[in-house]
Amino acid sequence: MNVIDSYLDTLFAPYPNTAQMQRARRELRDMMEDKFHALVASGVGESQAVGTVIAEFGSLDEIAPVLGIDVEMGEAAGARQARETTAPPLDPHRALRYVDAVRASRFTGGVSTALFVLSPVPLLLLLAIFRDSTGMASGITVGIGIAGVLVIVLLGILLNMRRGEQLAEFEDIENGAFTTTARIEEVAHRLEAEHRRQSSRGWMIAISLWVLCAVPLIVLSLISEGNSPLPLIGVVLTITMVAIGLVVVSTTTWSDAVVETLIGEDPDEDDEDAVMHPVVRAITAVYWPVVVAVYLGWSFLGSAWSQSWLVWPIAGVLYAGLLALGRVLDENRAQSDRSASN
Amino acid sequence: MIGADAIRGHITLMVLAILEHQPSYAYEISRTITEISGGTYAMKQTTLYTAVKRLESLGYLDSYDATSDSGKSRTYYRLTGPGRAHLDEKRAEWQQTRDLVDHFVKGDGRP
Repeated sequence: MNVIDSYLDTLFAPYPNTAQMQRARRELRDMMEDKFHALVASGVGESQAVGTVIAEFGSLDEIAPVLGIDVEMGEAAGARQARETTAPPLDPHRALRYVDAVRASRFTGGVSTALFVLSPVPLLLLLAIFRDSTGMASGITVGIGIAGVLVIVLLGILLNMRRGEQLAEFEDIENGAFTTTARIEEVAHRLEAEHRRQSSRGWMIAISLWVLCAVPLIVLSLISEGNSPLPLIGVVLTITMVAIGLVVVSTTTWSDAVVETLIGEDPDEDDEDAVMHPVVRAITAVYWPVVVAVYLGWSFLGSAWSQSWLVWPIAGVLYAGLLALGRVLDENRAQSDRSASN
Repeated sequence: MIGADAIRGHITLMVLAILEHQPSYAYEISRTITEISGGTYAMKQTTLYTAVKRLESLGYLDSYDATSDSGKSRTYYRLTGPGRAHLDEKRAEWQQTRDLVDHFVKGDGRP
């Protein structure tokens, strides 16, 4: 009877789950079950019996007016029509051109974001290299370093604008001003299937880089003595790892964003995961303000500016752990919800 | 085979007639019609269910849950007073309809 149940599930899926519909489903299922058993008892094979039962089922449209679901069906159709009149259906060929445009601009987008992250690198490197015995840098060094920062930020902005131009003609798609059709869903699901492995590998590499990015900073700080420039080199390495992670993510997981734009679903998240565990959400809301307070408090009160920066990498790693914990808690909650409803 | 269009207007009469002597449930009603037709008419389940529900909403049938011969709980339908009166009306209407149609079936199409 599994096939019959699945068949009925599919037929009833578009309709609201009212008591009226539940009763109709139950009675129709009873009819199908009786017919199935009668056919099997008369010597018909089970699969053939299922086929006959389904062939003789008929159409839910016929029942609708007498079940009072004509109103609900009408509302559903009305809502669909309203959506269609406000947003035109997306042409599948245009959707494919959009996919190609995003694919072509994935490096531009990734590199521009990475440049913003990497922008302090010239300043940090100059400070590490050109400094006197007390660890202080000259005004010229700082000036050149800041100029370097600004140049990199400018490059990032220009690249970002370039990406905007590449995708300008698809602005309506990016804003979701279209109606998804079955063909569009097909395009999205095929894209998702083609890039699933690449996308998950990309996330694994990027998350590994982001989790491990604190390591060079911590190690180099621990082995440095006096006014050694090693901690600054550590910061540069940490920033570089974060930036590489960003480039990896934007070049390998671009298809996830496209799928989400086209059909409104993130392939990596379902609804349950999208909602963070309430405790974790509460902690994340106050987390960074608290970290800033700790940093400033420790620095000012303990006059510990040379050590207090350690707060940041530690806080970063803890934050990643907190998010991972949130996801685990949420999956447990979703599982317990599911077992409770079964 | 009897076409669905040809029989559509008469399903009400058939369902009411089957329930005239004893209550029954949807599958049993459908099976009775198929058996009596001798295989010339296979009624879609949704067609029968629609007819039964329409008759119930009009007050010609009422329903209750009971255990069938197979030991399973089924929704039974039985004829009400107005349903019995409606069956009589439908029978009279059918007689008139049949007389009219027969007139043409016999090839006597003259006025």
